[in-house]
Amino acid sequence: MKKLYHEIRDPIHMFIRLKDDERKVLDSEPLQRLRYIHQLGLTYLLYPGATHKRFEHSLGVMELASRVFDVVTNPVEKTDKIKDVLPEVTDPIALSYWKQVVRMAALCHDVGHLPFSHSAEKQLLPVGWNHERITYNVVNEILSDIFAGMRLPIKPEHVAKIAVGPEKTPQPEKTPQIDFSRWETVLSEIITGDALGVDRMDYLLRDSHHLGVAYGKFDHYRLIDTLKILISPSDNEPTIGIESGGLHGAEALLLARYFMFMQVYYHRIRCIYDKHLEDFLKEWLPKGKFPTGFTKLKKYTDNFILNALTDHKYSKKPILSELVNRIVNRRHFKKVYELNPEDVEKNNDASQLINKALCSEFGESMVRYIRIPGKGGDVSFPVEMSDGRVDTSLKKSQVLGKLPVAKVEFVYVHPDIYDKAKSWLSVNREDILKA
Amino acid sequence: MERNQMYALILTLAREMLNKGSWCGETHLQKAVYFLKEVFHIPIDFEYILYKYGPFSFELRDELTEMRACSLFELMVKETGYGPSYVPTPKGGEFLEKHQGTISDNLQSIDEISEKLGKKDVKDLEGMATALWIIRNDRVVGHNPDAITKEVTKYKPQIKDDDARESVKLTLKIISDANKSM
Repeated sequence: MKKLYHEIRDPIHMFIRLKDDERKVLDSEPLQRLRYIHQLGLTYLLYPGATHKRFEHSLGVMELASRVFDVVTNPVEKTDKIKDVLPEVTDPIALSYWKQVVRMAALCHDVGHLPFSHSAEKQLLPVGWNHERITYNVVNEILSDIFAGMRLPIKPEHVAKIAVGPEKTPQPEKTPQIDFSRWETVLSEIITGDALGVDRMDYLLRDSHHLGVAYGKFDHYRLIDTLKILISPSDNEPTIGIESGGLHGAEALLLARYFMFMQVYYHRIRCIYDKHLEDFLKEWLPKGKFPTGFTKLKKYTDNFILNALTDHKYSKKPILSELVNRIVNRRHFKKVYELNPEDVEKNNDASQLINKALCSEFGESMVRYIRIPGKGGDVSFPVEMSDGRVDTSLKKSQVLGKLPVAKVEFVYVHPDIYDKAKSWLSVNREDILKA
Repeated sequence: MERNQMYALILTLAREMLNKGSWCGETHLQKAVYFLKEVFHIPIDFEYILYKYGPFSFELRDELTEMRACSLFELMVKETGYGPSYVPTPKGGEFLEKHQGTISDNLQSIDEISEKLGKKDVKDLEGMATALWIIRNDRVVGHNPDAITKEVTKYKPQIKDDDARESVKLTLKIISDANKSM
């Protein structure tokens, strides 16, 4: 007999269940491609356990999004005001439809990722493109027939909007803007929300599990149980918030995010490997860019790139073999400078000045500068107190207002000049910062 | 515009708004920067989309985060009211000293927009910035207030007709005053 439900083992959520028509989406080419895209790019070169892929993360996000949808649409929790501004929460047919949309949006939210989940999209994609725009198109164009053929057919444009969110949904040049209703905005927050979104919850839990670090762990069971649609007192709009009982869970999540950024995602060696891969791809890809249409993009998996790296290890083009060598033989550039608060006090442009000085002393090809802008700024969300009042998390938490913004800036040099550059910098550093 | 020049303008905007008694939350900065860009043509190159509370720039949000990371801004949470205020730090003040040239070139526009938007609440800001978005994106022909009002309530049905009409009136006045002074 044909199985109507499938269970997939998962190290984070134990079992992830999906229906047979959802399985068709999972078995589609865009989703299967994610089996060959590392969740954390080349991070496995420094954390050997980081070999997990976007595929299992996508399943995890679907599982968590489904749980959150059930919690926040629980009729017992809904006030009259919520029912008034979001009539969908009282309509069982609408809820069934949108739950399916949210699950599929969560499953598909990463289908547009570049190989190695590469973050240098501005450099490696044509102007105006990012992985969210590719995701939006793949959902609308490649997966639309599967969504239309489901037992409960869903509109691909709904899936695409909820998957990508209002921030990253590509806007057409001339036709009316793609607008988000309040309901759609709340649903996309479940997945993409900066503070409490399930994309973030899953990758923190999953990455820390695979890397073997404890920083990313937090009590997501308790946190999810306390999530709620609340009317934000600042603008009277519905948004995802929490009951006061979940505040410590939310603090733990946001602290985990900060620690993971500083300890893993912004690790100096991870950052330089990303840069070296970008250098190689710019040199190797036709016109230095990935294609944006899925038909052409689909062959570009990590395996395909790794083959290219191997092929070019002894390339006749010395520049390519040199770039490959930096990754494959671990001849990566070494950090000679990291931005620090003392230097920022002296000069706001400290790292850029040091980069320029090193470039002028040793040549641009021997120096790399990496600046990752501040992340994790938004820790404000509504909290419902036990007496029913709603206030901002920043007032209710002693921790969140003091949480630093995660940010790094590094300057690296070629390993052959590392000692020389380090000595030179120690002599000249103060003069450079006085500029 | 270089990043430091842009930071100097945003810090000055916050300082001027606070001096005029503004709450100076993120929405105030978002909408004021939008007006500076679209009405006063200050070359701050952020992309704005029509979002929950009217035009919103996620790029500006990232830069505000970055400015906090650089200790140029701090968030101040007040007992009354809701969202945090953006307050320049002492280091932000020193930073401004170093960028007097950039500031003085644009101070009049910043002063004007701080005066006109600083004390508005979030709902008013939403209406005014949405009206400006409709005008700048050619959603109506010409500056007909009735047509703009109709569009504002179409995009933002939660805004009442009278409030939308008032927002459109104020927005057109800002545009007209700016055109006269330029």
